[in-house]
Amino acid sequence: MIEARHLTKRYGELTAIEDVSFDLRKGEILGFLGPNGAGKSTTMKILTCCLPATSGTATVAGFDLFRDPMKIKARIGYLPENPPLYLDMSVRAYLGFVGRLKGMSGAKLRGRIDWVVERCGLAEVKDRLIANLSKGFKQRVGIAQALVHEPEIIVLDEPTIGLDPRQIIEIRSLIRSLAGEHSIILSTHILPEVKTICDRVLIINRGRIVIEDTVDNLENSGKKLEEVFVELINKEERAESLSSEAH
Amino acid sequence: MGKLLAITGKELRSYFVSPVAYSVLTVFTTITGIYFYVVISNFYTRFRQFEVYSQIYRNPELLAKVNLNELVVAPLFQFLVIVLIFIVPAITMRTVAEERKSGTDVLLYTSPLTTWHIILGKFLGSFLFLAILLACTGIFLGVVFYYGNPELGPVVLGWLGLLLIGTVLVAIGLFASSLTENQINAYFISFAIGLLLLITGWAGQLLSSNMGKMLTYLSINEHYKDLVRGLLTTQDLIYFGSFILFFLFLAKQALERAKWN
Repeated sequence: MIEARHLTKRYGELTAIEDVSFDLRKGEILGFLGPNGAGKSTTMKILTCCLPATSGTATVAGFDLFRDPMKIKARIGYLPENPPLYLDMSVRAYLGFVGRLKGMSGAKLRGRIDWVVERCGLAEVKDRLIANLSKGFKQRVGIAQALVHEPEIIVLDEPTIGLDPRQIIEIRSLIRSLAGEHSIILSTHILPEVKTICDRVLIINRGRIVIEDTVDNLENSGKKLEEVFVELINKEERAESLSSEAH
Repeated sequence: MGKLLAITGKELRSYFVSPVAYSVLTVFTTITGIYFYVVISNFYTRFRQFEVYSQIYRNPELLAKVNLNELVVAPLFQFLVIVLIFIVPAITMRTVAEERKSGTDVLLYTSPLTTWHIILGKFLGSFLFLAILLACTGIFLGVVFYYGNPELGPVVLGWLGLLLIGTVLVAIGLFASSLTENQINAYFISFAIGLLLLITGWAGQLLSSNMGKMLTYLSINEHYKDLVRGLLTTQDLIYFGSFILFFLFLAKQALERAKWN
């Protein structure tokens, strides 16, 4: 569903991501794992056509990032770090608005809103103003807006951040239930999340991909994912400081 | 088209959900009402005066000199132009700036929308609010027509002129809002530009050379004068139209530049 090749994003002297290449296969859940500031959000913004890449290419749902961004935007659902919620709208009105922005209308949209409200557990708050919702519900509305237009690909940036343990479990099972029909990229720095939800994981640090593999393979060596993660990050940082010393 | 109207609908609904709409409408009608009262009182005084003169000089024609259009409608409209320059920026300041501040612009950028969808959708929303605002002045005109007998043409065209000026100010306000994420900033930028367009008229009168002529052409008042007198020329329409398009185009550029930063 996604083929990213050598994506690079620079802001002047600062390099946010460099030479990021990976694939998202149909129906799978791919995790982006990395410390804060690693470049996970930047990569997601590029794939959702929110930000242009400095160089590199990508094919999303069969369409080229630069040539057909409109077609990509219609097929991708995105939950950014801060859910783009209009606080002065009710949940249902907001989802209707998002649906219309994506090109839906009429009875199909109404049916879809009902489905999404049900699936994301928003039934009891569907007519409440978004400003009056708790963080957990706001996050669910954020996920709902990423689903309302039946996208092939869903990109979730830290979907469980700030939620309480019970809400986290609910959201994770919701995400897992979406796999298969949808292809999902999810970013996080919570390791247990990767283990419980993701099929494959991409570890990113300082804008570069450190490793891409299935969770099982990474844990195969008998080590836990946490150890593997810390080891890889440290190894890479040591290598980087060595090479900068050499200059 | 549906996407554009969806944005317009959201903008309009948003106006009436927030207290901004109501405070703007209240302030606007109150100030206009006070001025209207002053103007009508002035008219009444003059009328009484001329009644006396016409009796003294046995000349009923004199009474016709107290013209309702001249003394009430025209000053009211001129006043409203100045009020619009203050008030329209308050209507438009949040259109883009707030989206940027609250992060909801990401939703617009990742949906299959062109920049024109966004700009025109918001423009239409603010325009409709402006139309509602100006419709509230209908009550004053209603009073004038009920008790008096002004000429219809200048009144209709004067009102149309106000709508056109307001629309130019909306376009300016939308542009200003697209430059910043701070609403106050947006207000002052659009207020300054609006004021500039008004002032160029005065500067144009002071300079008699070609520069003066150009400045006069750019001023809003120059093009409004015809409309208040009941004259609708293509030159005036082109003036208003090109300013509107110019600022909408600038707004589009500003939006795209910010997005592709």
